[in-house]
This record gives sequence, C-alpha cells and structure tokens, in this order.
Amino acid sequence: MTEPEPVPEPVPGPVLEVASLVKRFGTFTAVDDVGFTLMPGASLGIVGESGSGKTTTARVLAGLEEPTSGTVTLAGETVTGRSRRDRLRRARLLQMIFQDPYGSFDPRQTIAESVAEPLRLHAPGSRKQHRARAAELLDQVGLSRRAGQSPPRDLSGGQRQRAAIARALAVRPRVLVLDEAVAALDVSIQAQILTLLEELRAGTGIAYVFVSHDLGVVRHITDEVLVMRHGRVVERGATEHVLRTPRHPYTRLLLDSIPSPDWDLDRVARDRVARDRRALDLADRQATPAPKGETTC
Amino acid sequence: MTLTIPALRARGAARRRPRRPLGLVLAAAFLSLVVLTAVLAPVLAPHSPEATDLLNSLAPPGTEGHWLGTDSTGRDVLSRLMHGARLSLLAPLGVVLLSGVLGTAVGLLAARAGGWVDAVLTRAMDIVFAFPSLLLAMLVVAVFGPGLAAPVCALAVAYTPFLGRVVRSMALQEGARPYMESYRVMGFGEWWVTLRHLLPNVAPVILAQGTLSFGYALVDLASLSYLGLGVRPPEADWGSMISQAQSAILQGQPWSGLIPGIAVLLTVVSVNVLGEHLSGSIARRQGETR
Ligand SMILES: Nc1ncnc2c1ncn2[C@@H]1O[C@H](COP(=O)(O)OP(=O)(O)O)[C@@H](O)[C@H]1O
Ligand SMILES: [Mg+2]
Repeated sequence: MTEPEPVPEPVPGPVLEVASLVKRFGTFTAVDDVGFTLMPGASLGIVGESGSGKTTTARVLAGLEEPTSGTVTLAGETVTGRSRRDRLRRARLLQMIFQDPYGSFDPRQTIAESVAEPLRLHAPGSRKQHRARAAELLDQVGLSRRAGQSPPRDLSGGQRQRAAIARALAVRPRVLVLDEAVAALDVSIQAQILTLLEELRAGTGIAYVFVSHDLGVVRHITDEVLVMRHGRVVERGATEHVLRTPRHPYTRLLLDSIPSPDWDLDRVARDRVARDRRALDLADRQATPAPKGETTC
Repeated sequence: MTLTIPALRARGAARRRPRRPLGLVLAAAFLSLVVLTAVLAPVLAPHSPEATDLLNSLAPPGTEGHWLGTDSTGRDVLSRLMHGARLSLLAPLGVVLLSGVLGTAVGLLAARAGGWVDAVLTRAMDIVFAFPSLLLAMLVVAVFGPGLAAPVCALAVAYTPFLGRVVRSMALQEGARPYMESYRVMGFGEWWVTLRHLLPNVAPVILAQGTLSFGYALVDLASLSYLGLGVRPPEADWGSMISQAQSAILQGQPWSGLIPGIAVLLTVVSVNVLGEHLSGSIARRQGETR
C-alpha cells in the first residue's frame, strides 16, 4: 500500500476546469469544444436532448473515456492517464453517479460491503474501521442498517441511488458528476434524492455536474446550466435566467417539449434563495474563519 | 418492480424447498455411492482386483462370492469395478480442473483485454474446438507414450474452448454492466475488478460447465483406455475393463464388459443431470436478478 496522499486543501480557485474538450468516435464528433469551470460548492447543469453528448462529456470527466483533445483540470492539476497513481488522484477528487442504480452494484455484495469497497483503496485502516465508516455514510444518506445488510436487489430504486451516493462520498470527492441520476425514479422519490443532494452540498461544499434531460430537475438542483446540442454548447448562464428567458431557439424548443407540471416555479425560487444563503455561508466559512454578523444578501 | 420481487422470491422459495426433482435425487445418490466405493475400495472390495482364478472364469452375475461375476481370467468384476472407479473418476476430475483453470484464464483474458489479444485467443479456441478431442489425445499419446498423464493433459487442452468461450461471453456481458465502471471511477484497476467482482459473478457458470465436461472427459478417457492408450495394466479403469472383455463378448459372455459399460453410462448421466440442474438454477437466478 502506498501512502495515501493528503486530501488537497480547498483552494480558492475553481475545483474543475474543462477546456476545449473534444471527443470523437471515429469520424463522429460526440463532444465538440466544450468548456466550463466549476467553483467549490457550485452546481452546474448540463441539459440537452438525447444524443447531444451529455453522457460522453460526463464519462470523459470521470476518466472512462479519453478525450480526443482538450483538458480536464481538477483542483489545479490536469488529470490524464490510466496509471494507478493517476486513477487514484482523479478518483479522490471526482466521483460519478450513474443512471441505473441497480446495475451500479455488484449483485453479490451487500450494500454496506459495496459502500466499504472504495475505502479499501482510499482509506487506511482495518476492516472494522471501514465497516464503521460505511455505516456512517449510509446513515448520512438516510439508509437504515437493515438496508445496508441487504443485497442491491432487495432495495428500491431510490434506496439504491442513496447507496450509490454514499459510496461515491466514501472517498470525500470535491466534485460529483451525476448522469441522469434521478431519471429512473418516480417523481416523489426524485424530489427526495434532490433534497438529499442539496443537503450534502450545503453540508460538505461538494460541487455537482448534474447531467439531465429533465429541465424541471435541473432547475431545482443547479445554479448554472449548459445547453448542449450535437456536442456543442449552444447556451449557458444562470439556470433560472436561461430557463425563464431562453435566447437560443433550441433551448426554447427544449422547454416547450418537456412538460414539468410537478415543479412549482415559486417554490423552487424560494428554495433557491434559502439554499444560496446556506451556500454563501459555507463559502464564507471556508474562505475566512467565520466573521460573525456579516450580511449575505 | 419492488412489489414483484418479494412475490417472485416467495414463489421461488415455495417451489424449491419441499421437493427436488426425483432424477436429481437419484443422480446425487448414485454419484455419492460411486465416490464412496471409490474411496473405500480397498476396505469394501470383497476380493483383490488382480487375483485371477482361471477355474472360475466368466462366471455370470449372481454367482456365490462373485455378485457381479468374474472376467475371462476369473477376476472378481465387483472388486475391479470398485477399484477401477478411482482412476475412472480421478482422471476426468484432473481434466476438468486443468481445463477449468485454462478455460477461465483464456476466457477472462480474451474478454477483458479485447483487441488483438481477444482476436488471437478466440481464433486459437476455434481451431482447438474444431479438432476432435480424442484424435488430439491419441496424437499426444503417440508422442509421449501411454499412461494417464498425457491424455489427461491433452483432453484438458481440447476442452479448454468449451469453457473458454462460455467464460468469454459471460465476462463480456458482466463486464458491460455499470458496476464495473463505477469501480473504475473509484480508481480500481482492471484486473482487480476482474478477479474480485467479475470472476465471482461468472463462477456459477464455470461450475456448471465444468460438471458437464466431467461427463465428456469420463467417456473420452474410457474410450482411450478401451483403445489401450489410457491406463496401463495391471492398473484398471472402467474403459480398460470393457476392452479386456472384448473376447468374452464375442464368445457370447457379455457381462464382464457390460457391467463397467453400465457404470460409465450411469455415472455420465448422473453427472449431466447434476450439471443441467446447476445451469438451470443459475439461469433462473439470473432471470430474477437482472
Ligand atoms: N462509445 C461510443 N461509440 C460511438 N458512438 C458513441 C459512443 N458513445 C456515444 N456515442 C454517440 O455519441 C452521441 C452522444 O451520446 P451521449 O453522450 O450518450 O448523449 P446523451 O447522453 O446526451 O444522450 C450519440 O450519438 C452516441 O451515439
Ligand atoms: Mg445520456
């Protein structure tokens, strides 16, 4: 076992920078010159219709695909390569949640075992310590001890996605990439998972790249949004602004074609104000040792 | 989905618990008996398997002191059957274990490495697969001389494609499931994920396939012994017993050859019933969980 590298101190700069990312499959360009930056604790949405290159972008970020060109910089360091060292470094900074919460687990392991698995690689300590930490993580995402002792097939979709989140958090990443993470869930369960994600972001300062075709979901969970079409970013900006006053005709089309009756705009707006206040508080706390009585509005 | 799973499991439990198919019970009982007599042959056998008694040659089954009769040199068929069971079971077991390791390694390597490695290994398996296993074993015996080691190794190689192909396709299927990628994102290496997560998930298939190839190996090895290319006298397995009974069969005294033949037949059928059951329950379980 190599010495675990110390968790990098939160730097004031962006936690993730993506520049001129291109991914080609043969002659087909799935991702075409995509770039963005993500600050600690921020949440960026990537929307677009099916086939627009969202998943490919997410997979390049996670190291599952090599970019054809362009760079991915995590906490100030460019990450490339598949050597053991590179893999571990990337994994500690960035984790990913997949759409299919059942397929994301080894069917032979219990949920608690699966959650403890990344600790074997990333956390020094005994089996017992790993089990304790896994229990703690499951508790953090609202899963019972009993759910932890079950195989994945005995859990509901929402529980599995909670477990996937717990497992991703095990390595204390700074960025979580979620690819259609709630798309397979019922609307009421979606809301619960989104609330959990909000709490985690407020509590830990983790940043999200939230890939979704569902504008309602993106509106609820992200501050900024990229609209992708044919692998290119056609519009970007503050989520609320882009979704209320879309400039690009494609975004307008997306908005028209996706009904989201379950999302009450006013409630979403109220939630947002409350959350932004929390996020700002957190940013302040991280930047300076908590000066009291400062206004955040 | 969550609603149907408890229902399915309850039905599965109700179906499995109280009754197992009669064929499976009989097969398991017969195999246990064969293994037991093989292990305890020196204790249980009524006579020495090599003691000849020319005055009592070719006694029919049911003869006093020789329940299954005697062969053309008056050796007790039951005792020879019990002793012969040892090599008749051990040699195919060797083939299964060797080809199991080889087939698993080749299949996993082909599936996980992909590219030209996969192409070369798959082509090699096709070639070996197309080669008749008995012919390969005979060629190897011709080079290395008779005895069990050479044919066991040759058959192990000949059987490798059967398992290798299954393992390869299962590993491709299992490797495409998202949990493989989630472990990659966590920073685990390909081979660690393959050995710790993929292999255990395809292991039941390897077991079922291995069980089935045990039956083939038993028949192939018996055939080799029958041709005089397997075990060397005075050692005996069921195949060489049949071979030595040839002249007696031609004289209208088929018993000493028929009895080891029936032993081969029943053992192979039992092993296959067991193997089919294993494959079946694996398929059912995968149907439930996927
Ligand atoms: N491994 C691959 N090989 C070839 N084409 C691919 C591959 N992965 C994705 N694509 C293509 O890239 C395009 C973008 O796919 P994807 O990123 O999955 O879009 P989205 O997630 O927005 O639906 C699609 O046209 C898809 O067919
Ligand atoms: Mg997608």
